[in-house]
Amino acid sequence: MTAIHCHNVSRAFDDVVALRDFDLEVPVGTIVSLVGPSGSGKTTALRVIAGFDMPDAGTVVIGDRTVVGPGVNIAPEQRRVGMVFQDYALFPHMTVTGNVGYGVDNGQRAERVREVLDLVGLAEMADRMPHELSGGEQQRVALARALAPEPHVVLLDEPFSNLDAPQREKMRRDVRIILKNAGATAVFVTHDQSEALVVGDIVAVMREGRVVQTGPPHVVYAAPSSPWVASFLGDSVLIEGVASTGQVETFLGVFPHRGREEGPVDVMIRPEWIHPYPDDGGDAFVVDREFYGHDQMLLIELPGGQRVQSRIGPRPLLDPGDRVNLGVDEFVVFGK
Amino acid sequence: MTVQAPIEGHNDPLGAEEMATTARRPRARRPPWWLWAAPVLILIPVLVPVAALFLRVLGATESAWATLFSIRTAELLVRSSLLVVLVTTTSLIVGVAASWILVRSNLRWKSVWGVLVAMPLVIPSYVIALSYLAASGPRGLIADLTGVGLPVASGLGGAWVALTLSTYPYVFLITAAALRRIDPSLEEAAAGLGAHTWRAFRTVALPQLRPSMGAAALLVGLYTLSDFGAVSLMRFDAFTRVIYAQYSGRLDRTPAAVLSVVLILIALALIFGEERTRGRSAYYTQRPSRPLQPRTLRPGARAGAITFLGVIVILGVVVPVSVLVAWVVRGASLGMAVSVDWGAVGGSLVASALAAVVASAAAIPIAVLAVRYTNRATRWLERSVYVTFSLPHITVALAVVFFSVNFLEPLYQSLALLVVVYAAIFLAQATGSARAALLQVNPNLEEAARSLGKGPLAALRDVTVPLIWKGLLAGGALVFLTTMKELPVTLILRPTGFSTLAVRVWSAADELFYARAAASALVLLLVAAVPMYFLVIRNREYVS
Repeated sequence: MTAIHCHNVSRAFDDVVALRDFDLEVPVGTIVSLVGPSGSGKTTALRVIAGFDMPDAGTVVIGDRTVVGPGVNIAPEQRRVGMVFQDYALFPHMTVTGNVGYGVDNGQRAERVREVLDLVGLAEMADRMPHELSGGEQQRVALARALAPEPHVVLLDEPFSNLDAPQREKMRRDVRIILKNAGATAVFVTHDQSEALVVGDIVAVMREGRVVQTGPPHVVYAAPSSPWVASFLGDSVLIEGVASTGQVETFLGVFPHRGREEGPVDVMIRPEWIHPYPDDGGDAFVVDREFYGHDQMLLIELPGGQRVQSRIGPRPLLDPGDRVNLGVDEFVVFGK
Repeated sequence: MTVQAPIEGHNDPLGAEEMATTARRPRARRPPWWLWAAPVLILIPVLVPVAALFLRVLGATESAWATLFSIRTAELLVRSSLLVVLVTTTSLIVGVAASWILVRSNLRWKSVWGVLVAMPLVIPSYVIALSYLAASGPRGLIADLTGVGLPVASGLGGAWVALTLSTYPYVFLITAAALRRIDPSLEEAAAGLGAHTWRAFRTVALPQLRPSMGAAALLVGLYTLSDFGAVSLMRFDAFTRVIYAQYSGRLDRTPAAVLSVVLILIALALIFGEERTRGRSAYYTQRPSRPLQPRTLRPGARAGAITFLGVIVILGVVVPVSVLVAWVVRGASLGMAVSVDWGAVGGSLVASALAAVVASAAAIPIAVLAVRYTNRATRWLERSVYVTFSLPHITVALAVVFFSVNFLEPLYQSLALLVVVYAAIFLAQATGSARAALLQVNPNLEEAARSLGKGPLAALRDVTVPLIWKGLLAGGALVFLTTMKELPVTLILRPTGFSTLAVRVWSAADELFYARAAASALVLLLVAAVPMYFLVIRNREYVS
């Protein structure tokens, strides 16, 4: 079942195109991370779904109702879409209870507020004013407020960008758990690829106003649809190769090839797919090492002078100058 | 400094500065139609009659054109322009000097001085005129006390003094606000290069003050051009006085209409002229990075500064108030009836309170349209609000009379029409305040309310209005104060039998019953002082 379906949505501001033929499907009960560099139209997409912005063309269906399309334009308040803003946008003149209960009908208000505050773990903060809360607590209140009226879908616009780094990691875990416990469908906008991979059940990568790839985090990471997606989602080593039937030749060696590409191709390899095996007689050597504690990133030079990155665990510790042989686990081939 | 609040509606009468800064991200949704209802309902009863006035004059007979091209009109033009130039010049000098002393020097008791220097804001120009008339002349207070009869302070000189004292506080407030925004390091740099105090002021501060001085000059010029009370008591035949005489004294009202149109055209020329000479970039919005380091005055300069401030406070506040008190005492001792007219007090309070409520209520949708839905149409709405504010009040009153007599007979001389006209001409003050407050409100709050299932009206009621409440109150207080002081519209549009303090003061003074006029004027000051005090107090907590 689809909770949101955006089809061919376009939106331009004066001469800047924010969305062009934007397509997105959000299955019920999933969290979709909408990720892209700044200016790729993520926030505009959210605002169009929420009803704060009107597309120039295209349709948006929420549940089984078309909310925007030819001749249709449902007001934001009738869309049952919960919104969590980047700056939280808590009503400063209302208590936590007032904020969370604002969108709930009178009859069930008290009960529902208690329920949702329990869900986000803020039951004892019910009588505080927003300015008396920490950033993370405000974030939870904003989430509780959006969940309280039981919306079809919750939209989160860069929700962690106002938090400092340690809090951000905790909050993205918590928010995911809260959304999952609530059984909510959510679209989560971020420009941070690691945040997108951690939080989303599905990652939709945006570039220049359209979605260029959609899939589970491990799939889009390991099988990106283009070199651009590959490097946007993480570190990548991009090298040239020549494909012929059954194999690809590169300076790192000859790999088996099952694709149809022939002739010159790009080959993408994640640094963690490249393994250095210490060998005094190896023909490659370590140029530089960045040590991160949980792993290390090595810069390795090949006999031809080409350099590649390799990410390995903390041991064995390799030093600059150490000679190695390289092995490659996985690779992705892109036709030119 | 504690006297910043009253300028909210004044410092930029045309709103041009704010218009230039509203280039926000476009909000695609159209404003709900009902947001337009209140502003249109309030502005139409003023703007349509003004337009009708122009049509009437265009279609008028040859006698109208004869009026227009008579020597008399030329004389009026010269007299009014002379007064505008004189008052604007002295007002700028006094206001800028006072603001520099009170913002940039190390004088003690600056906040007390600030309140005193701004005080003439609550004193209507005709009350200042009345006090100077009642003090001078063979029947005046000074002659009475000393036996030496001074010449009567009327005519051009009297109008000049009275209007300078009424208008310099606006210059003071506007330029003080601008001075506070100037980055102190500029002046310090000048000082570091060896410039002494005067040179630093002249070469660094003054050029930066130019845009705000331009805005202040426009405000003072329009005020002088539109002033009716002071010039008529001073018997100086400026446009407004002659228009009123033509209106009330003759059956043929065409000359009054023709002169009104000329006066409106002059006012519009002033507004658009000032707009064109001002580069948008001249407005700096930068906030100083650190507090200003006050300049130490040398003993001689300090004495001069204190004398200067003392003299303007004596002339602008002490003289008017003590003359009024003295006349009330004198009148009572001579057995004259100086009792307070409670009907007029009630009339003033009711009319001003209604105007304040209506204007503040209409300011809400206007502020929302201007801030949240900035587009061509809403910019025009804002513009017409400020132009309405700048129209000479007597011409608005006449236009409304002519129109309502012909087309809206039942509304002619009704309290409802009077209140709507008040609200329309002072709408800019309420709007300025509401707009400033709304700019502080995060637009996501309203969107959050919408996404929680509330319609635009409910979001406005539950979120926007509670958050701009203080701004609305301040704007309302300002409208209350200005309505209380307003004279020509009240004189011309008030219902039969309806009186206000302003009308009592003016008519008693016009008939030279100074004791009676002084009693009403004192009550007027007491009642007007309340909103002023409120504004000052509110501002103090705003700052801290």
